Amino acid sequence: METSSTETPATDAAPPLAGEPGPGRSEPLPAPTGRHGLVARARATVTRPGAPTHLLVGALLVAAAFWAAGAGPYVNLIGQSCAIFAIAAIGQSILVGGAGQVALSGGAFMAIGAFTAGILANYGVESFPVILLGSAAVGWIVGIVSGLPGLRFKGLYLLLSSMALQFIVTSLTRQYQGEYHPAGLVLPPLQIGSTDFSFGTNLYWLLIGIAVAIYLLTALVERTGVGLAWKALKESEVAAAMSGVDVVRWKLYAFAASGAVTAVAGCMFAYWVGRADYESYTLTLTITLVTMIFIGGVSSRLGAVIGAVIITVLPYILQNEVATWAFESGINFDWYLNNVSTVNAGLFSLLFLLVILFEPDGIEGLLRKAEARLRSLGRAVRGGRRAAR
Amino acid sequence: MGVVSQAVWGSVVTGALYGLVGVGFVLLFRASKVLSFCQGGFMLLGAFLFYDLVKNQDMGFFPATAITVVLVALFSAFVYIVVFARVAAREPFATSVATIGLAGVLQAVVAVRYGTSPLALPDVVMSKSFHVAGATITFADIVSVSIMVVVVGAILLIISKTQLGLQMNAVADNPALSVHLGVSAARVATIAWGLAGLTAAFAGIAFALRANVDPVGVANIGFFAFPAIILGGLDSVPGALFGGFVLGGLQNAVAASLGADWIDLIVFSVMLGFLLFRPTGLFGKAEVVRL
Repeated sequence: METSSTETPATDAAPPLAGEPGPGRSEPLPAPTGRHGLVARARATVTRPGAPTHLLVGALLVAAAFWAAGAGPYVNLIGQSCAIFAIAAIGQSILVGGAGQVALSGGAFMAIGAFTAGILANYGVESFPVILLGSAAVGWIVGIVSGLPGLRFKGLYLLLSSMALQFIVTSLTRQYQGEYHPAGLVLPPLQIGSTDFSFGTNLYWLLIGIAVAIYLLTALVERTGVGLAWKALKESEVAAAMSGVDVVRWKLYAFAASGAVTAVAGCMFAYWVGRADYESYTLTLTITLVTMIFIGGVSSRLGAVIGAVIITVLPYILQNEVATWAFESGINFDWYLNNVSTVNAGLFSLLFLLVILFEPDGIEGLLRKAEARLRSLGRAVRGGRRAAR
Repeated sequence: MGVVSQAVWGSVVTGALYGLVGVGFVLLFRASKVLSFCQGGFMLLGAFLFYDLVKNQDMGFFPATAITVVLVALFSAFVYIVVFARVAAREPFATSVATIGLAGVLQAVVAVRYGTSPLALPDVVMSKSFHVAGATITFADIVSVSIMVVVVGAILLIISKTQLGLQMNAVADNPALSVHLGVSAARVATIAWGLAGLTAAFAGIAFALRANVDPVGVANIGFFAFPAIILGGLDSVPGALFGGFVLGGLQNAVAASLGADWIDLIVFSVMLGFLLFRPTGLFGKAEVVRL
């Protein structure tokens, strides 16, 4: 349980970092001397708009992660897939957050990660860190290449070129697999040193650890000049270029980073399943990833994680809890149980449609709205008290 | 000789199908700058409605076609008014992304209703075939090509000869100005959605006549038609048609020379090449948002 102990403090540290360096940060604070300054600073961080939402959601996610670790193999398994899809969703949200672009190639990059891992493993590379970094590197390079059309176009054209990339990668992986490994590329059991991470809580904590590490890494990157450049690009490319941001360079980095992180998710997915199979990484997966980031909240990283967890967990809840409940209360639920995957796909598509049309900021946006309402309610109450006095 | 002529005829038939779907895309894009990802979904709806009417209601070819096409066209226009109209005018891009969701919903509904295994249509048209220059031409092939000719011909006539066509051209060219001149952009967009649904339904029927229908296979044609419209140009109706035939030819040529496995790779690489080097396609003059 080496990773467990090292990751625990990181997990606890996640929520405060989750907040974006908003304007609240630069407000003139009282002279930060001694403990009072620190307290004031911490208070300003916590009470900044959006921060309580982030803290609450982050704490809930951390609590859920700990609960799932001890709740038996089945819940563990669900938690593992949550972590993998959270990584993938973070990867996709880097592109939206970094270049303001939606791409239809998430599945392709997961395929790239998975197949890189599979090919490396088949050529005798056994070390997990090497394979993981190899996948990330290939994802990074293909990400840059895929960014080239994105440099010239926005919106629809990028959507189309990334979709073309998705079909091209699916076709290539299918042919490679058909030619050399008809049953899929087998990956060795996951081991680091002599510790076995291939199943159970070990794998669970490893996946959570990687997800948290990537989350923190992207959060940190976005607090540096890179993040500022990305933010400027997202607002207006012309304005960014005018103020000296190298548009081409930072945009390509956004594509590259997104590709690398998504490829890591693909690599972990392949390890999780035990093999890389092109059928797992088709356009359907891509659309699922897009659905995740839109449902959770397309404008933030935490939103991507929320979306990934919800979309991953919801089918299990529907299948087990709701089905049992429906059975007990005598509702005929067979039509659902007979078409589980189809109905789920349709349900997610419907959610996706509704979110884009009616709540473009997703669940995260809803939570923020609720927070804002609570704040104004609190102000009103306080104001009323003051008036009464 | 026989192989070549068969391939040529195959290209014409698949090209007609892609052309038909592509024309729907182009009409929508011209009217509202929305690129619909749910043309495949409407095609699916058309194919299965037609299947249901023919198989379960014992209808003939013509009444079943008429009912299918009208219903799908109305449904498409209805979806636009109820779901997309509010957002489409403001944010064409978000609407385009949202159509991916609609496609998923339609696919799921059809899959739950009819199952996911391929279904074969009983013979609604003559199961006769002809031999021309070594190629086997089935009657269903001829029907599906004629559907394309009639439908696209009618749409081209509407665009070039009628008041409505003039309005559609005006909206395509400059939406803001045409609204100032008294053209209702919302009405034009609604009609365009209806027409797009109509072409998709016809394409679905043409597909169902010639092959077994299953939800995934038919819906994917909506995606596979994208190379055709990129080739022809996003905003050109004749371009979409031309792109359809080029795509059909390319597919058959690749299948004949390299094998069917290579089709996706080559076709989408060509599409990517066009996006990179000639984003307006061969006939389009779509303004591309560039840096």
